[in-house]
Amino acid sequence: MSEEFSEEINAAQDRMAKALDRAKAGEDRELAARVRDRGERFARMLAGTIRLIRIHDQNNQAFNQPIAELESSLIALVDMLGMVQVVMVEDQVYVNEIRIRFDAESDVGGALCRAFNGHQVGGLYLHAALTGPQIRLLIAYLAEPPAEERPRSAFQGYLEENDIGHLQLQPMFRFRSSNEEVKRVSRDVKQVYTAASGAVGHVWDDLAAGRNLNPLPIRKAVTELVELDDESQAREMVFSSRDRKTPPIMRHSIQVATLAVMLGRELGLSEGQLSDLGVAAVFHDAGYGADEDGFPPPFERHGTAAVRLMLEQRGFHEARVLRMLASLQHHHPFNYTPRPTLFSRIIKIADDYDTLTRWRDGGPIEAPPYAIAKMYGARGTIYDPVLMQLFLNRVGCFPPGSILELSDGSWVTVISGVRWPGSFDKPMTLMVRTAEGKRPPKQVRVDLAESKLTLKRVIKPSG
Amino acid sequence: MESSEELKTRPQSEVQEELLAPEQKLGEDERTRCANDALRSLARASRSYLIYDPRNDAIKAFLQEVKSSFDIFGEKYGDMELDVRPFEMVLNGKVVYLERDRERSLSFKLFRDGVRKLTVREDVAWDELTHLLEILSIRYVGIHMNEDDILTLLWKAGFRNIDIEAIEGFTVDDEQEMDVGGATGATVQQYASSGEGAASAPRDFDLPAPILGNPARTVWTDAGDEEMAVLRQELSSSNLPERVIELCQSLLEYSSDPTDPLNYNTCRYFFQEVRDFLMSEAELGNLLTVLDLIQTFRDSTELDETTEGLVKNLQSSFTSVGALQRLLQGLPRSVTRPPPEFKRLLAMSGSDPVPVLMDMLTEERDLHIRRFTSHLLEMYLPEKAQAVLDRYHEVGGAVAADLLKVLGTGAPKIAQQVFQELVRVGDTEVKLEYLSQVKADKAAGGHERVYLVLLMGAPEVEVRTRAMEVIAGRGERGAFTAVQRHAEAAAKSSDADEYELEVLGTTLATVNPRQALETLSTWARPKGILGLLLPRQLRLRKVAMAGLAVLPGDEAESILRDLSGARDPDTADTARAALVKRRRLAKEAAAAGGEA
Repeated sequence: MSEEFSEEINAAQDRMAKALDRAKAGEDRELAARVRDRGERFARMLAGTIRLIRIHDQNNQAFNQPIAELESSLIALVDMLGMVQVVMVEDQVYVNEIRIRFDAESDVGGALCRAFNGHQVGGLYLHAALTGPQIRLLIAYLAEPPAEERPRSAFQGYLEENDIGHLQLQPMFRFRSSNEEVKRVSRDVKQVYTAASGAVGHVWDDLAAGRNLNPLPIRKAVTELVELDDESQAREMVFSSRDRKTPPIMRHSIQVATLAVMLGRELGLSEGQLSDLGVAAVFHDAGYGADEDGFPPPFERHGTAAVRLMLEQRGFHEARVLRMLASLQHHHPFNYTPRPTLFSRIIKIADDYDTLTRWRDGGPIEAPPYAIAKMYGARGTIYDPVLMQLFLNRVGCFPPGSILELSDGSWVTVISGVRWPGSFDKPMTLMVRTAEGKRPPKQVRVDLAESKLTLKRVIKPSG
Repeated sequence: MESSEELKTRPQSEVQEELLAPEQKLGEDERTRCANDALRSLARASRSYLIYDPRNDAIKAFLQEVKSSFDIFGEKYGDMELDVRPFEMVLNGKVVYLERDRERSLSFKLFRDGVRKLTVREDVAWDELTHLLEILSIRYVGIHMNEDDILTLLWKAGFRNIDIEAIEGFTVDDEQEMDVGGATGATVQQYASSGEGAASAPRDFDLPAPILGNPARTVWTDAGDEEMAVLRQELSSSNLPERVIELCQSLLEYSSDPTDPLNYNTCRYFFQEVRDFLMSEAELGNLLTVLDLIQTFRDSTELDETTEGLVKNLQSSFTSVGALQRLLQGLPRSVTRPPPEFKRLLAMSGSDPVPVLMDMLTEERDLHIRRFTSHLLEMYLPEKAQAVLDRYHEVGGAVAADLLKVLGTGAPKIAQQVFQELVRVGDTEVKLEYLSQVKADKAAGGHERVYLVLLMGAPEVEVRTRAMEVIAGRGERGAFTAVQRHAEAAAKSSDADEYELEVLGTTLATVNPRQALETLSTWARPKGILGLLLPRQLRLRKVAMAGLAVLPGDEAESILRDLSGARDPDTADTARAALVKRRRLAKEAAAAGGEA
């Protein structure tokens, strides 16, 4: 082996060792083995207890021992992993991605799959351990025939009625085969936005049910946002500004993510960094989904509340560190000591802009052009001056969603950001009201960079 | 497939063999076989991290295999465009990878995460291949995969010469999509139509709005490439430790605020992760900072008994065997001596580090780390010499030898007694192990000479000769007289080992050539008839000839020539052999000089 080749191999080995060390930070070396061991024990006992319920009443003493063991097994798993995910697919059982091996002769995997799949349940997310009585209730339900209509919904409803909402039932899983028609999420803005809404919706659904934050589905939705081109991102801003249906906190989370990713791209961040930034932005206000004695936290504690939720997730990850800092710092001004992180400063701009311009009863606080002008005036004190300039360069002095009255009396909505520096104050617009005060019969675009029409005034919607 | 219980009862070597056994060889033509080789090597290398420590030398062989096999395919056949199926990968309609065991199967791991096509271009760079391997390996060994899966990791990697086509791997059965799971569940449509959902944020969640001054005139201005670069640099991985410290500080501050529900218990797992991260990066300074922060938190916050116990456990865990191993594994190999921060780190853990360090010597196999650990232990001597001595008496082999070295450096008086006893009645393995370690430890101090000389008096020939070889190898000039006396004593015995006599001669010649020439000349040409006849003299002559064989200069050569004509055939033969050796050594030296 040549010396150069040997050095390359050594360097690669060092890099991989560091990457693996980082991926395993917080775990001890035998964790996988323990998870497999505990997971197997849990699965066996659960399958065994399910079989028992077919013979005995759930209150029979025969259940005492197995349920006690199940309880302690679950406590150990939750303690090890934070959140336990059990997936049952095609007679295989996975606990947190680790496949549990059973004896060739035993049918534990098959038994569990049948028991749960009968209720159209393909997986379990355990956000906390179950107590003995809760396990009894679970087993008792599994022994009954599944509900005729929407069996999984009925099952989940039963769990929630019995205060077991922290056990989240997953639908049946299957592998998508290669020759199936694939419903890809296209780059159509509406579909991306809808998918993002869905993902964010599930986050808030989980928070309301006392479950942990799961960043992976959000990361996948953010990937779609990152891959939108400039024009599509501008349209997404407009789409969001008009969205009255999505609950405000969720709409806000998506919009802040869109704006943050837009600004991050303008800064030249890599796609991986944009992905991390987008996820951080989605979660920046997740603290409002936390519970403080039955109420959401107040404004001054929503940052630490978000961090409390994020700390439930295990595993060291750079993105997670930056995400927690962003939650804590996104309301700190630029000139705060210590200086907020880059993600925090980006999210602050995106967050404040949306706060000022989002639709609310009585209309937004500011029309977008005034919001951006006021924010621009605070660059260097409240906002990072370079980031603020980049944001302005991207959205222009009449940001997407702005409503303008033109010199002929028509009203237009801005639908583009800055296309080239000269178009900074001359965006592409869409007519929303003719000069006669009527809705246009068809879509009419007015490119202010080419039109002879000029700006008369900025319209601030009143609600 | 066996259960985990059964796997645990099997010998580790068997488990290794099973995990590392290559997949089925496939290929009806050369192209298919070539692709199969490359993919099997990639799968095997990924699985190897389940068994071996990432820094183990065994990993190198797997990495080499990956590089070679992909290079060969790329050069001969160009791009490798693969269709990914659950258990196989297909190249131009032909199966080039097959593994049905879901644990082992590379194809299954990719398919499960949604990868359907994988293209490795012929120009794929080595760093891209290793990055791909890293992603696959993390997926094989990772537990906490709710941050990223293979798809997001591959996407983030931004490969130039590796393309992926993917869809969602596990998918909800289409019929199930509307059955959303419980009263609190909702679909996108439900949100879209009703405007309601499970969100529980207050209506004014984003208020108060920022208080801003007057609007400024907005202008497009170039933000500045340099200024932007400075901002991007903030996200450099090298800044991550600083970010982590910042977060730890914030978490501890909030944890000490009685009005905030955030408390230490919520944070403690994160601190363990931080500990492991900083250790794997060998960030000693930052580790101390974290410990300082934790101590400050402990000192300034009223903690209940449980929390106090948790904090104390965390502090101790910074210097557990596992933690120290992680830390030392991350240290560059060029660092051979512990910097002062190490002692501070060990002191801050709150517990006695000596037993932990001795446990590390028992558990750790890497020589560099063992040596480092020994140096750490030395810092606690002579105060903790008794503890080391007690442990020495409990162990054997390499660990005992390590502890001997530690005592030798840190508590010489005790060490001398131990050595004397060792020489007399001690375990041969310990003696030989000690000698191996001293030989390998180039940085060892001069105090070992005393112990080496003592070991020259061991009852075992192997120990004696090895001790002399180490003395010679280290150029221990000060040992000349001791070696000389030993030679004279050895020569008196009729049982003197031939090899030992030879080693005696070469040792004398190596440690002090000038003095050796004088002594060896006298032994080679004793005065008087008796000098030629007495067995003792004959043995000393053998010592001399062995030494003269390696001594530079004409005089040594001349003496050997004289002796090669001796009447005693044994002497003559030995002298001739010595001359041959001289010539060989001269040639080797000339060749080495020529290469340099």
